[in-house]
Amino acid sequence: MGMGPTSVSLSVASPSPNLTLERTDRWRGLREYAPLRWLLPLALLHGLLYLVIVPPWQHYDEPTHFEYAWLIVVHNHIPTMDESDPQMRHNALESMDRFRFYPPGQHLDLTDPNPTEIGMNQRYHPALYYMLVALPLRLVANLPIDVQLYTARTLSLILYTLIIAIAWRVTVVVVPDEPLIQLVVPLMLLFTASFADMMTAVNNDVLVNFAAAALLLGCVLLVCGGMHPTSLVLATLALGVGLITKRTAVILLVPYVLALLWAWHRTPLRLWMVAGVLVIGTLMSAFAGLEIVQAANGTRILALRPWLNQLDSSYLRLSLDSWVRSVSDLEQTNLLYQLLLTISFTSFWVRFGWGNIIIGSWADWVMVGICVACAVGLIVQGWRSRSQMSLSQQRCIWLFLIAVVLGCLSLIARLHPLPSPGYIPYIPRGRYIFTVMLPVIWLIVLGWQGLFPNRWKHVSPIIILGIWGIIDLIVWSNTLIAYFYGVG
Amino acid sequence: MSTTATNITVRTSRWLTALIGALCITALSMITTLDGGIAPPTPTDMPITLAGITTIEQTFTITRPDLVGLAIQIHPATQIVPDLRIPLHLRYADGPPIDLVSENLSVQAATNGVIAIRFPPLMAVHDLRVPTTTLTFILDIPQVQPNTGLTFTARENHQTPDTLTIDGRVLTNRELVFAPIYQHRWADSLWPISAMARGKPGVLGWPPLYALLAYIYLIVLGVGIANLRRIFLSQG
Repeated sequence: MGMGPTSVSLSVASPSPNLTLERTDRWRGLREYAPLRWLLPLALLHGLLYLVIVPPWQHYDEPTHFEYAWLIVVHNHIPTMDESDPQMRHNALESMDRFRFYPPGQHLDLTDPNPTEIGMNQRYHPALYYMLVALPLRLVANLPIDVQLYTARTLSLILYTLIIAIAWRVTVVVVPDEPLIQLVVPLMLLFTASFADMMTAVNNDVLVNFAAAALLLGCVLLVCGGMHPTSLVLATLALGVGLITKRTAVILLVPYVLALLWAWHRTPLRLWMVAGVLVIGTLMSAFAGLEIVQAANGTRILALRPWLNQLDSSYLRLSLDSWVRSVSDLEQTNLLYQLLLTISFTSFWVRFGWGNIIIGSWADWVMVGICVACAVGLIVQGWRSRSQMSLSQQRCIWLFLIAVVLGCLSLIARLHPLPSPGYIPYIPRGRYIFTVMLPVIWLIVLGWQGLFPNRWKHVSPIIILGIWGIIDLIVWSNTLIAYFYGVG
Repeated sequence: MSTTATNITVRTSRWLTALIGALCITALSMITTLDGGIAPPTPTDMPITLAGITTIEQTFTITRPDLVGLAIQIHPATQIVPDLRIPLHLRYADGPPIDLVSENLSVQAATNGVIAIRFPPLMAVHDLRVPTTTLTFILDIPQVQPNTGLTFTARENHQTPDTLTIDGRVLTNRELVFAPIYQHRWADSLWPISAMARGKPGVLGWPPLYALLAYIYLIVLGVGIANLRRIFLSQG
């Protein structure tokens, strides 16, 4: 008799097998996200260090990016190219001067009530990013301009932190059975000092980089999990945000289309067929749209065929002809490509502020060494692991590789059309392809593993992470401090 | 003790250690000392009687950041001077006539023949706004009875180009006996937190914040490294 209530109680309290399984699944799901408990605070603190150490206005075009958002707050509309506010410019100049923005010996006339310029006008960019920045700025509109700038930087800090979480998620999706790599990739992205420096600035690149990372997550989810609505919405939304933030995001279209293709067609494609279609397609397009002509200096270059030139001048308005002529003039561009390689490579990895702060030439050479070694390692690793990786993993890595190649090509494209002889063209900085920073980090980790024999392979991610961590530590604790605060 | 209780104890003690560390970092970052004292008397010292003087101007060159005060030698009055206050203006020597500091020196507050004023740290060194690191302080001497005996001291100076001007007349190779007072933060020898905070708004202007932030970051980094190690060992 005494067992009666107990048995009733037990029967009530004991969960059904289904319920237990559901709880276990939920617990496992929560545990899966456990690394974020320290990864997110770490990213936030790391970004915060960069945010507070770098004095106001000391990032690429920060004054004019800020001005764009500020004008939206004050005028309640998207400003035109000519709009400005003399008082705001005066306050900004006063703050720039106070924070030693200008080199020694250069002093501003702060008594001028109508200062003309505070940098390169950024209002040719789409307004999305600046509208986002304007949201927190409205809350501090009456506070000093330094406070407003730091508030604007805070939005970048949040996006930087989220990118690290996205990087972690991308890695979990691609290599679900590699817990070490799942942490090494986001940590390496976190420790990439040039990226952290850029991602805590007021600059529309920040939103493009965030959109690119989100797009990559959407793409790997599509490739690994098939045409799922959530993945599709994520990838499409991220692509949309990227495209309406800055034109540098246009390279993201290719990974997006590829991911859709691979999500739809989940069986292997024959390599020769893919290569054949690509080669024939490229040749046919080139033959249909381009012709060989003689340049003014006598060299043979490519030019648009008349029908395409007509289409471009009447509809596309991209000055494609001068661009194609410029790209195909190898004699003129040969030296510039060398310059582009040097400037874009160093500014991608080890340049800070306005690209004027360097760690030292040793860091340039360390990065050259690592990148060359990883390129070799990537080939070795690709050959060694070709049978061990699943189709979706292989496709994800192809996606990363294609994104990185496109990023490099976009830098070359940005160099053209070259100005008239005698004028020095603008050499694009590496920050324009921070959109592909996550795929680059992925390839570095993979390539680095390829350099080690199988029995040492498990140690290799720790070594490369250590190198990244040490360089980052040197940057924030010494390089930036020495530059901005005169000691270190 | 059960495993759960042990875990809780370990976790609590770690949190406490981290918290104590944070308090120590904050406390150490706040320690400052003052450097600067009046040099001992020399045979060339000569008194400057304040009676009949309107202004005294003295230029000097800042040698370090964080100038926080000035100490001026004064000989006390032989007669009682009720609460005499001497206005002092500190300006850039060659810059715009803006007062960096404007204070009143209270003669009654002089101790051991030295009258001192303190002000928030000045950042003239490393501040590119400053056309020069030479400052000048101007003393507007109020009317003093001739027989009060209140005097400053001047002495020969051949080492520096600093000038002493009394009522518009430059006294070559002479300077007022005074000393700039600099603040020295101990933590700056390790990491220049005072420079990092200088001029920044709100909490960003509080030097210990930077040390604290770096400390917390390194603690969380330590947690991350511990997690990596655990995963690495479980894989190995």
